[in-house]
Amino acid sequence: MKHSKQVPLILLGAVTALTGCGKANNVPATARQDTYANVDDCRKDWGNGNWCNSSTSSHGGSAVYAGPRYYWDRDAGRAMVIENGEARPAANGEASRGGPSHATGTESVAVTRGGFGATAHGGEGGAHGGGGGESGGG
Amino acid sequence: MRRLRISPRPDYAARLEAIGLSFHAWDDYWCEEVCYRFTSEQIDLLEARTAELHRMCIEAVKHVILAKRLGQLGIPAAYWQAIETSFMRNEFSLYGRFDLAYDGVSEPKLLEYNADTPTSLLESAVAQWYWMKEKFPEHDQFNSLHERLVERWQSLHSPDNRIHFASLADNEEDWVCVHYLMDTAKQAGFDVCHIAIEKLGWDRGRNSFVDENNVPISTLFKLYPWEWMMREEFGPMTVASVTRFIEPMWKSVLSCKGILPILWELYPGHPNLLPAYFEPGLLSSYAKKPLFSREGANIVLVENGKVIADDEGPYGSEGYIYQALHKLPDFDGNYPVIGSWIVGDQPAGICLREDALLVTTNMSNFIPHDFVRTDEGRCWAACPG
Repeated sequence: MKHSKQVPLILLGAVTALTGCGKANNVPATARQDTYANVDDCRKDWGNGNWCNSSTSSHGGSAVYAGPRYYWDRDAGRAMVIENGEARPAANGEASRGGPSHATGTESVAVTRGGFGATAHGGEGGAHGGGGGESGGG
Repeated sequence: MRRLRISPRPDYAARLEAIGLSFHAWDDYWCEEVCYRFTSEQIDLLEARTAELHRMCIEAVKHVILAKRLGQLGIPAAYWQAIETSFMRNEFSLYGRFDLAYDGVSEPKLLEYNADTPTSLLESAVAQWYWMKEKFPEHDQFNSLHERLVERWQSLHSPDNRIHFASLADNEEDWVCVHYLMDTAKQAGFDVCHIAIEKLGWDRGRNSFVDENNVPISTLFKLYPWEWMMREEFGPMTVASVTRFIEPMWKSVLSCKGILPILWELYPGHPNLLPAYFEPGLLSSYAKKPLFSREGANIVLVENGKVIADDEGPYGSEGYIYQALHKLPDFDGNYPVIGSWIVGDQPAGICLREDALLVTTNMSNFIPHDFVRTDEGRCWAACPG
């Protein structure tokens, strides 16, 4: 036998079970992010979290090391770190208030979007004449 | 291999919609007024040749990388090292689909390999499976796609046990294909969620793509071709990103039509390949194909110097290849192409697209298939129903 014994579906055909990654929380779209000349300076300000990775400066040129995205919660009077899409109060060792910052720059940053899809939307036609745009598949 | 006229299931539209094949009626895409019937020997042959082609393709990728020929395939230099790394790490690949010309008698010939973003998956894995079970339950079908997809997902490690799936917004066909894959990944035990490719975010601080909640994406299945990604704004971010992509970047080598002349160089005279060249003028009858094109667009068929078929489209700026003309078999004025699926490294089934034209396009019909054991002597030519 060369066919599947069963082909159960648990998502398709059951609209309520479909899963999106839609925006669901109140984390602000724009936050601040400090950048550093080296990883050590970044760690001094932000500890050993999942940040301070090397990346290219948005202005081009040499590598920079960026701390987490954060914002100031006026109501709570404290810094909030955005991690895994959730905001949480900055912990000890993170953004040590009053201490000297080692940052070489601070940017008001939003996660950038819209960097994929241009080719498809520059095309014409659609799959089966009714797909509403170029297909990414084939 | 025969093309048989049969009666459709009276409620087939409702049945297709119940499994999520929402676009079955567009341009009469799904057609079950006919079917193709194979013998078990023919299916065994297709399975064996598919495995052989897959093995040859992996060797071809290795050759292209080691011989530093990625530029000849129109792949920008900024991605060469990342492709090599992706291949040497044997990064997880889910699936691919060979398009074959086959008449049931001669050796099947490779027309091209959709290694990066093949669609027609729900109809191949599920819709034609139900069709066979309801119309010809005593027959068999070369279609273990569903089981193999679930099994293949189970071999993947995703650090957060989650897989994001991205496809173009407002494209129903892609949405359906991706949601079927999400279904199989969920059955394999993963958390899954969908995002429009246009809404993907880039978090520079984390070197990671993120979803709409700014959650870092560890594993991203994208139904969006690498040749487009590499030329778009976020393309350079994929090189050093911590996000892992499915299909991986090394599959971009195989989804380029330039792999066809490479294969012919490596395996000259192979019975399942057609002569193919980067240079024009070596063939009098040929198919001129852009290095990158989709669903038959911009392909020109030339016979003895005369154009016999062509299809318009936006592709071709990166160059062309020239493949010996091999006309599709004629079944009552219809020209089928066999899509032969690979999941992981294993052949997993076939699907058939049929057109009244020699170039198979996105307007072609999907035709279900089954096969019978010829030694049992039943229903070979036609069955009631």
